[in-house]
Amino acid sequence: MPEIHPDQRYLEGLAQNDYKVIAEIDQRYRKVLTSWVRNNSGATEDAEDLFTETLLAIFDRLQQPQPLMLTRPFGAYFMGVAKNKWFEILRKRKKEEKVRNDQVQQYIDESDESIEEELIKIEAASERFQRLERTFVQLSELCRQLIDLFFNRGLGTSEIVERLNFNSEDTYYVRKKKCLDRWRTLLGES
Amino acid sequence: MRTDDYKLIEQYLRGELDEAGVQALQSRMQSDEAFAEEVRFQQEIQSFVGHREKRQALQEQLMQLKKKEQSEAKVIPLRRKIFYVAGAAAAIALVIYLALPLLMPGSLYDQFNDHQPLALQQRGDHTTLVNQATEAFNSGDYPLAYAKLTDLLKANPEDSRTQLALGITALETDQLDEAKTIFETLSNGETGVKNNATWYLALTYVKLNDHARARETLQRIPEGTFWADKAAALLKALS
Repeated sequence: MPEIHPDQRYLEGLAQNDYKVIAEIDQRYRKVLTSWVRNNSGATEDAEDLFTETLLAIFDRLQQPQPLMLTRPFGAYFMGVAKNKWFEILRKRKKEEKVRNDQVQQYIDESDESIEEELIKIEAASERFQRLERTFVQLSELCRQLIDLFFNRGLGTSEIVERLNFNSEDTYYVRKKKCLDRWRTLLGES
Repeated sequence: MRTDDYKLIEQYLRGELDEAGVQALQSRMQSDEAFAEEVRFQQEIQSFVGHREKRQALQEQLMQLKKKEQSEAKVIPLRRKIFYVAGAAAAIALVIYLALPLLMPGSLYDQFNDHQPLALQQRGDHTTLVNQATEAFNSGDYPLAYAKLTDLLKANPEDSRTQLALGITALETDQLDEAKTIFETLSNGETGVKNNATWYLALTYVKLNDHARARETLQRIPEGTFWADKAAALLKALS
């Protein structure tokens, strides 16, 4: 069993939305990533977007039930994820041949294939979140409120009934069933 | 699926079932695939909506960090080029900084009312209103933003981010009682904008010249959050 790297603290801080940890990640890796992107067919604005997308993708991954244990420095993991995302963007822009690996090499040990498995998990987590998000915003305002009040704020049934002006608890359950069915249908279509 | 099944799943998700209840539910999940699928779906929703709110908070923190870096990047070259002029300007600024609070009670507020750009979630049926509110807010047209956000809240009264933005526009347009009520509610709640609201409640007290309450409120902002550094700076200025 490989030893957990001390940089695991970055993941723990990120999962907790710890501002100091996020600021430290920002300070250590934003410039490195910007420099690499600019040397690989990208602009500063691309790097800014990529930095945010990479951290959000890692954040989505941390939400998954399978634990994420760092056995390498956080920088290697972060740059591995960012690089993969950038390749994907360039593939779409048909510029992949122009990507140079020089600057990112210091962060990634290419001989270690375990990052590949992790990249698949991270993409799956991102995709799952995006799919839920895309379909969630298609629900009616009332459904979104009902879902937020129960699943996010944990309000009791009687309080939700009162807040949403339902006639009774039965109305609430009927409405909730309809909302969840609608969401399930949207997910099936997406 | 019957209403009783939904009630049972709710109890399970809230952690209200006792051990025997949990075992019975899990046993039913093994024999009733439709029921099991419903439980798993609702568990996923629960996980998603909580994560979604935290994700928005992370996005805001990253946006704020980017903004901070951009403003620092602008300052450095300027200082190199006009070092002596900047030094003199700093001395003048210091004099103004020290003298201004005596002349203008609201000036401390002006030093700290640096709002993050508004980025509300797009909603299928209210896209235009969201865009109008966002544009007005980010261009500093707070009276218009206040009107648009009020309309938006009628459609979605539970949205804490819209409530917070409305509070800020109320604060900027000197509707201080309304601002205070909004921020107090959010600050005492458990939404993703709790700390933001506590910060703005303190700023409201600053604008009301109630510095004692501003200090008390700032001390409620937890360490390690984005707002803690700002709170420390304002506390220092208030002391």
